[in-house]
Amino acid sequence: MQIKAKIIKGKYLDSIKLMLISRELRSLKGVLEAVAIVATSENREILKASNMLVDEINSAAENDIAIVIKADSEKSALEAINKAEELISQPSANNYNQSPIPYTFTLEKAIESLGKPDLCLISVTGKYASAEAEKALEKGLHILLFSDNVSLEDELSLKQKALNKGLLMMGPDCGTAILNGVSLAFANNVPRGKIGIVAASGTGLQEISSTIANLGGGISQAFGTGGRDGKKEIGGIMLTACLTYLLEDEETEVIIVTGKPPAEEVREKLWKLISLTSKPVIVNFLLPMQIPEQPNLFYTCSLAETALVACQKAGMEIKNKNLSDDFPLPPLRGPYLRGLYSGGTLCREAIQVYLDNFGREPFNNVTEQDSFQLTDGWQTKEDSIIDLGSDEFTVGRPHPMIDYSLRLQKLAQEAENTKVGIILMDVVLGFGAHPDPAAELVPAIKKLPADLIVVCHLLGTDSDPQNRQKQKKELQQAGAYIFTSHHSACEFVCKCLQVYRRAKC
Amino acid sequence: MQEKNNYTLLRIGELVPLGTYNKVHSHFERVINFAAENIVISLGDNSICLGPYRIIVTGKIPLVKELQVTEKEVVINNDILLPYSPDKIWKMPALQPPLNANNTFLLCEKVVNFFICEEQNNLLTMLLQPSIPQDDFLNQFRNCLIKGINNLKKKQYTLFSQLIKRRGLGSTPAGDDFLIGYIICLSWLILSGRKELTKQREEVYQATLDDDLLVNTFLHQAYSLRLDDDWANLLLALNENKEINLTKYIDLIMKSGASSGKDMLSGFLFCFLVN
Repeated sequence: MQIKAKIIKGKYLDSIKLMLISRELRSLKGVLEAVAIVATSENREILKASNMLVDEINSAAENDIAIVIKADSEKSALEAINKAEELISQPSANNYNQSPIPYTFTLEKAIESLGKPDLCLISVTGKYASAEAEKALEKGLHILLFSDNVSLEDELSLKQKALNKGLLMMGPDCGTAILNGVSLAFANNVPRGKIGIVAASGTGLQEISSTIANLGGGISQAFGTGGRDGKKEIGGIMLTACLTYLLEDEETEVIIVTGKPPAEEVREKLWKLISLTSKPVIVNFLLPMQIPEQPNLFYTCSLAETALVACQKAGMEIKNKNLSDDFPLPPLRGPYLRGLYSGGTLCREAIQVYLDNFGREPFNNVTEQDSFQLTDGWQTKEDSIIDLGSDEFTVGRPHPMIDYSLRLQKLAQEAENTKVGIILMDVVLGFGAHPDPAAELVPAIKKLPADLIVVCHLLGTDSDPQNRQKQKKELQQAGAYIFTSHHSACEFVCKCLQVYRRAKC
Repeated sequence: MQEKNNYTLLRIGELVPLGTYNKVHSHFERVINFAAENIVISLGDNSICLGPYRIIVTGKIPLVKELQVTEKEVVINNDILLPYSPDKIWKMPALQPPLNANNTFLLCEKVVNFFICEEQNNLLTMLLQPSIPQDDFLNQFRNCLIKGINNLKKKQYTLFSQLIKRRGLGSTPAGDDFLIGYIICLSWLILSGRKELTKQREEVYQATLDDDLLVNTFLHQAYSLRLDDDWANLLLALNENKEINLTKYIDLIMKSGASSGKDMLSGFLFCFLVN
């Protein structure tokens, strides 16, 4: 590693120019860090603490500007210095700032400026969310409530109000929806079609809708009800309302219902509604379940299978029917699995597949069973699968689907434990997600021990902004096993563990 | 001597002292700053915010070696004559205490939430989310901020300032901007009736003053609430509960400099949170 500095004397460069220079230098090959600072004695202390203080800075005056570069080699550092000199002498561009996205602080002003909006997406912190949702319903807007930490009482009240007004109240904790072809919050770019979905919602909806798109199908509407809608206290208000809509919708020919298992009384309402239609309804509540015998009711065990059956029932000619990628089983260096998830539903599916294979849950932070509960997600042990999108990890920070830093930290931590033989992760593409997950993951995966197996489920469509094929290629080149079907990824991991454990017997 | 020119004086701040200035403090593309005893007088183009110590002209700022300010005109380099009438004198909007303090503070809370949850790329979010990895330099800077704040909690206001000032990225260090915003908020809260904050403001202000005249000018403005146009109107919008103006001025402040505006807002909102 090399540190070089360029001292600017007697030339006044404003902060914008300095920021643009730093940004340009950081994009150069081999440059690890580039900062532009006034060479005050206090900033020199900071540079010293960051191991970036070099002699040139010590000879600078207190008001001089210092551009400090940390690079992986002497050559990279010198090239960066030359570039810095070139940039310093260039005149500035006229317009530094991108045009702002209009915003306002009140709903009234937002409605006024938009004309006639029909939906309000709310993601303010929990304590304000209910009040804002209430206001939006009063104004006649459908709601997508992304926020969590909303009380059950408030959720019930909002949903009852929405129902009375004929409005949608999706959420709280609703991460995904696709309405009239418009993807909302975290959602994938999927074509319009004949299949309607009611989901909890989150990565379950994303996985199903993406798989449908990848099989050549499309979505009429995809509603998210929020994770608690199926509880007894809420009574499945939105679940039944959205299902009713899809049952009556002429553009919807097949319906999917998915999410955590709802309370028994809610299930009864669902079965009753489904019995009033002849439209095929495919249900997946993420664990095995007895369902009534109805000719149009189908129960599936995996998200991928849900999509496949829906497409078949829609009478589609299915392209790429084979959803399962397949690889020879690699040897593991150690006996344990670590699942690091950003999507809650995918995390639950992984836990279910593990349970189906090994007869017990792995340790995890989403279970209600005390014996397998990880109270601290950082303290994984044996076979563990954790949802990094849960509250303990996301309070005050971006969701792991947007910000990979936490997951990369966890990955590095797990790699140090030689008993961890295999890592399983979801990589979620689509609107709202990280613009280039491979850019974050590839360097991290390359740093891992060669004998640590990394399995990634790549969720998305070829129309998603991240370029799914490019992501797949880059991750594969880094050494990861890439699966487009989450269920297949989980089965593969379980097989690897089984082979290892049998060999050790 | 006086030749025709393509410049027009748009506005002159009400506190620009009469006199002749020939000591350049700093010269950028859009503004040139002259040292005048213990403050800085700025001559800028119309992309620069109006302010009590600023002279705003149309046209590209020439290489200015001398600036004369009289009651009727501004003369550049003894050559370019810019007459002005009294209506060109910019006066800061009068700031009164909030009409309804509860509503004002609720609105300010919403701004905090926006800043932390939506805007995110600022010092305040960096402070409240210490576990987000940053570059080495920013990590160390954050440590300094946190050390400073720990002393603030112990009411060691001088140390709070000393651990933050003159640190951080930018041609004006981010730490200085943070403290300027902090003092603006203290002054605003004092105006709103929080007289017990006077001692804190005095100590933080005195401890932050240093060699840089430009920073000292901002500090003086923050202390006395003789603010530039954006900040004055921001406080006015808060005091009068005018959301549309609030949006506009927050946007303008956030676009000020590479991060100066955001750094000052971070300091302002942080002060609001802790006091």
